[in-house]
Amino acid sequence: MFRDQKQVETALSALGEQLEGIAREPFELLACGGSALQVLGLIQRATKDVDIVAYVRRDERGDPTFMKADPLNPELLLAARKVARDFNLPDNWLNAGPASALDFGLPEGLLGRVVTRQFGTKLIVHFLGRYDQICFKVYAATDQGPGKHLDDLLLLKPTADEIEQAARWSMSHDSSEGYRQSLRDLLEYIGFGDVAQRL
Amino acid sequence: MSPNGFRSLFLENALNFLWRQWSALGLLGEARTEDPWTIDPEAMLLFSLEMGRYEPRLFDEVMDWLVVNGKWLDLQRLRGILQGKEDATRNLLGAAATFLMRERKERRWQNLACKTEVREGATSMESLFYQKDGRPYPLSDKPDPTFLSCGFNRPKLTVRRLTREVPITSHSTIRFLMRALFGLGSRAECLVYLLTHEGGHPAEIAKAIGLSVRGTQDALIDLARSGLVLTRIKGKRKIEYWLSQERWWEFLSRGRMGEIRRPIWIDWIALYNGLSQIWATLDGMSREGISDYMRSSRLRDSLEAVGSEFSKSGLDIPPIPGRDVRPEDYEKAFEAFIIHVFGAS
Repeated sequence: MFRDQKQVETALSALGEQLEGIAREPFELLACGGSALQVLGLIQRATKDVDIVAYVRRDERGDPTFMKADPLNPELLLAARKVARDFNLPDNWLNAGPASALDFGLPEGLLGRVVTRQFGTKLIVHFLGRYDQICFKVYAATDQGPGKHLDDLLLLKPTADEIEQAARWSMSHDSSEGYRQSLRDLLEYIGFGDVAQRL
Repeated sequence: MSPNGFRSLFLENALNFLWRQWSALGLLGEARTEDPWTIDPEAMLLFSLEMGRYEPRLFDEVMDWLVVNGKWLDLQRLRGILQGKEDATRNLLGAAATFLMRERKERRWQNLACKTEVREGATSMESLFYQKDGRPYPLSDKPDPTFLSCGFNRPKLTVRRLTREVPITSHSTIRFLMRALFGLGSRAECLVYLLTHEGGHPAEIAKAIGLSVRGTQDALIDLARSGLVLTRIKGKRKIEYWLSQERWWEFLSRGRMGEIRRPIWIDWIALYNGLSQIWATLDGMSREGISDYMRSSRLRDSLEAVGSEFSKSGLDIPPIPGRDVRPEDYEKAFEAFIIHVFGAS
């Protein structure tokens, strides 16, 4: 369990050190969720894992592409398990739970808004910026209902514009009428009834 | 504690422990031990040859012991324990065997001796001995040809034969008493096992004594024909062998039951394997510049790798420090564990 930003960074720093001795190539990860919110200083709540959305791969010119992170690379898993053992973390503290978000595309211009931290020479982690976190939280809160995702969304204090853009992005991941209705209900519930009407 | 600090801690504890164990077998004319366990000379010899490179005096005294008492070593068992060991350990034993062949004219060491020929004028081999900080001793310009043939440079070895014959009246040297009675081989080893256990089935005993299941089973069948080693069915069709502890110990203590304390069986093969692996980690770690965290993680790696060896050793030691120990506290836990292992009684 990570209680604060420092603990997340300590674990990732340890992961970077382990990768120095294990990994042949550096890893560039895109992270979201509670740990990313902690690192960004946007939210102070305990979180049990670091959610990886995707790997970031660079071509010869350094241009990035996103690659699905599920399943996690064996070298990364081995290093993560050592860190889990050393810091008494759950074995899946580093996981690719939200990797399916990549299937329907990430919000436009996401890499321009990330906060990047480098941990040694073998690990770079890009934490989703505030707007992209709102997108993910809208989708997760609609999907799962009231709970930590909705709490996080409210703590991020989104504007109506941000909520509308996030809602439209989330509908690209689930175009069903059922989802649209759930989304409208959610937005009504958190005080964005006018946005709900426009969807 | 620095990486070198851990290395030194382990080395000093290991060397003190080995001095104590060999003294119980007559090294330097001593024969004292308060340790309650059976000593395993074959497993201890291999670990001593590895660690003795950092204490030339111990290494040479062990060679002296081998000259005087080497006849009591079970070379078949030694070969079995040697399997899976590093080349360096094989070469060290090869050097010792070659030396014994020449010193004692004993052919039975031939299979373990180094096969290469002495290279005339060759002096630029690896130094046999290292200082405790890991720096090699200066190469001798008049190296011992026996060791040189195995790739090691050391000054000429001359044994003084100050070692006593192994005392076989002690609880810790029961293995030697069995070998004196029944000869070297699986019968003596099986009896040592049965004298220190409630019983056992052949595969279990073979694993513990470091001999083949077939050879162990044959020995147990033969022993059982004496009527003094018994059998009973345990579990699903498993034959367990056992003996009457009281009758056997009364006989072995020549009727003076109080004089021989029943020793504790320790799986020294497993334990020395574990310690050898930890030493390899510490020795390697001291040469690298790594962070406090990685040091604690490597220590964990080494203990994790040998955890099962320790747990099956039979030593009364606490479990290896677990996940609940934070990285910043692990070094202390490791230190306490190592001191406990070498001082365990």
